[in-house]
Amino acid sequence: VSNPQIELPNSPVSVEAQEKFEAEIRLIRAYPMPREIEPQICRGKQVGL
Amino acid sequence: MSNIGIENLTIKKATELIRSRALSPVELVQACLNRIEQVDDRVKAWVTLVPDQALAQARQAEHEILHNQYRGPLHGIPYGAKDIIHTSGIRTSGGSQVEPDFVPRENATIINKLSSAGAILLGKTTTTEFAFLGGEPATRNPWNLAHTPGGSSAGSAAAVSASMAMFALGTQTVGSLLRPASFNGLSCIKSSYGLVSRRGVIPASWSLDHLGAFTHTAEDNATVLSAMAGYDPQDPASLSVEVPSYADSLGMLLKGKTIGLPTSFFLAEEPTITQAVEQAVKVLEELGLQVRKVDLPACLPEAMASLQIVMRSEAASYHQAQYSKVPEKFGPYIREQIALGRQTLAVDYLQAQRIRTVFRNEMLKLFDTVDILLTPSTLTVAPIGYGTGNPIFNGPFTNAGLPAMTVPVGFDASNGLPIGMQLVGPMLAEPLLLAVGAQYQAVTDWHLQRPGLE
Repeated sequence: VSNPQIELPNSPVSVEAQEKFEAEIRLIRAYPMPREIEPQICRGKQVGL
Repeated sequence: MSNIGIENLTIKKATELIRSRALSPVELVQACLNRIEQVDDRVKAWVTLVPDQALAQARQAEHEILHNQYRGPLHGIPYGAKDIIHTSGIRTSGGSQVEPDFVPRENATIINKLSSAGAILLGKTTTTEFAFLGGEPATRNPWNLAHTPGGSSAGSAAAVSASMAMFALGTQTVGSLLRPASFNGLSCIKSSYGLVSRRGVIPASWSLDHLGAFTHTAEDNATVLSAMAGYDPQDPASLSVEVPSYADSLGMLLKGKTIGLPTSFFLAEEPTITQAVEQAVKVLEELGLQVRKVDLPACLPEAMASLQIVMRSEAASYHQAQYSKVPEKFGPYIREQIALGRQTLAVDYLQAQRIRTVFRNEMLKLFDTVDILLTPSTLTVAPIGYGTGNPIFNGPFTNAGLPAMTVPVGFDASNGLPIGMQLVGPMLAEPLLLAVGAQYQAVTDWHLQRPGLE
C-alpha cells in the first residue's frame, strides 16, 4: 500500500503545524473512550433529538 | 429614502414601509446599490454584484405588492450571500483560485427559500479561501478600516455593518458567523446543526458546517431564520422538525430562566470585553434572569482537538480530487490543512467523532441545570490587519451542534470596535436565545450604533 502523502504534490507542512497536529492526535488517542459511544457524523438526527 | 436613511433602517422598519407602500422595493434596492457605490471601495465586501437582476426582481416585487400579492416580511428586502453559496447563473468562486469563474446551474436550497419569501439577492460577498482560515480577502471592518471584519464570512458581515444590504448570509464551521458578527457590532444566530439546509454550499466540513444570517437586530434575525429554516430532503443532515415563527417567540417570559457563566476557558484577553459582558449580565438580571456559575465538560480540550481533526480530514476528502490536479491553485494555509488531513488515520478520525458525541452529551447534561450559557463572543475585539481573529470561543458550540447567538454589548473606546456576548442553548433553543437577544436590545442601544463611514 502506497503512502498517499508521498503521492501528493506541493503539500508543505510547517514544523509548528505538524507538531500541533501530532499533539492533537496524542490527546484524542489518550481519551478513555467508553465502548458504547458511537461516532458523531453529519446527520442531524444524531445531535440530540 | 432621503427622510429615512438606509444606514438606520432595519428589516422590521423596511417591511413596515414596504407593506404600507410608503417604500418601494425598487427604492430600497437602489438605495443599497447607491450605498455600495458610496462605501465599498473602502470596505471591499463584495465579489460580484448583480444590479440589473436585483432591480428587475425589485420591480416584480413592487408589482406583486401593489396587486395585493404580499409574500411576507422579506418581500422586497435586499441581501447578500457569501461566495461559497451556489447561486444559479452567478459566479461562485469559493474565495479560491481553483475555479474562480465557476457558475452554478442551480441555487443552494437557502437561496431558493429566500427567493420564495421575496428577498432580493444583490450579489456575492467575500470569503476566506473555501471558508477556512487563510486566503483572507481585502475586506475591511467598517468600524475601523485598519482592522479585520473577521471571517470567514468577512464580506457578509462587513456589508451589513456598513448598511450595504439589509441582511447577508454566512456559514460557520468553527466561528465564522459569530466572530465576524461580534467584530462588526451585529446580531447573528448559528442555529442548531441541521436546522438550515447546507445543500448547494461548498463544504468546509460536512460534520460542522452551519448557515446563518447577519442582521442589525435579534428581531430581524428571527425573521430571516424563519425563512431559512426547515427540512430539506436533499441535505442528509437536515432536521425533520417543525419550524416555529421565531418572531412570535421574542416576547416570551424570561423571568426565572437561568444563565450559566462558565468558570473557565472563556476568559477574554481584553478587560474591556470582560467589563462589557459583565454589564450585559447585569442588564439580563434586571430583566429577571438568574445567574449561576457552571463547570464545562472535562473533555473540552479533547473536543476542540477533535474539531480540528474532523475539519481537516473532511476538507482533505472533499478537495482531494482537485488538489491532486492543481495543488498550486490552493493557498498555503489550506494546502497545509489538506496535507494534515491526509495524514489522519481513519481510526483517529472516528475517535475524534466519538469524542464529539461525548462532548455533545455532556453539554446537553449541562442544560439540565441552566437554560442558557453566556460568554464573551470573542477573545479580543477585531484585530488590526487581515488575519480574521481567533474563533476559540465559538468552536465548542459549533462542535456540539448547539445553537449560539451573538448580540453587541459595547465598544472598545480605544479603537471604536464593537464587543459581543455569546448566548448558547440546548438543541432547538433558538426561540429562547432570540428572545433573550431581543429583550436585551429592547433596553439597550448598542445595536442601534452605526460605523461612521461618511
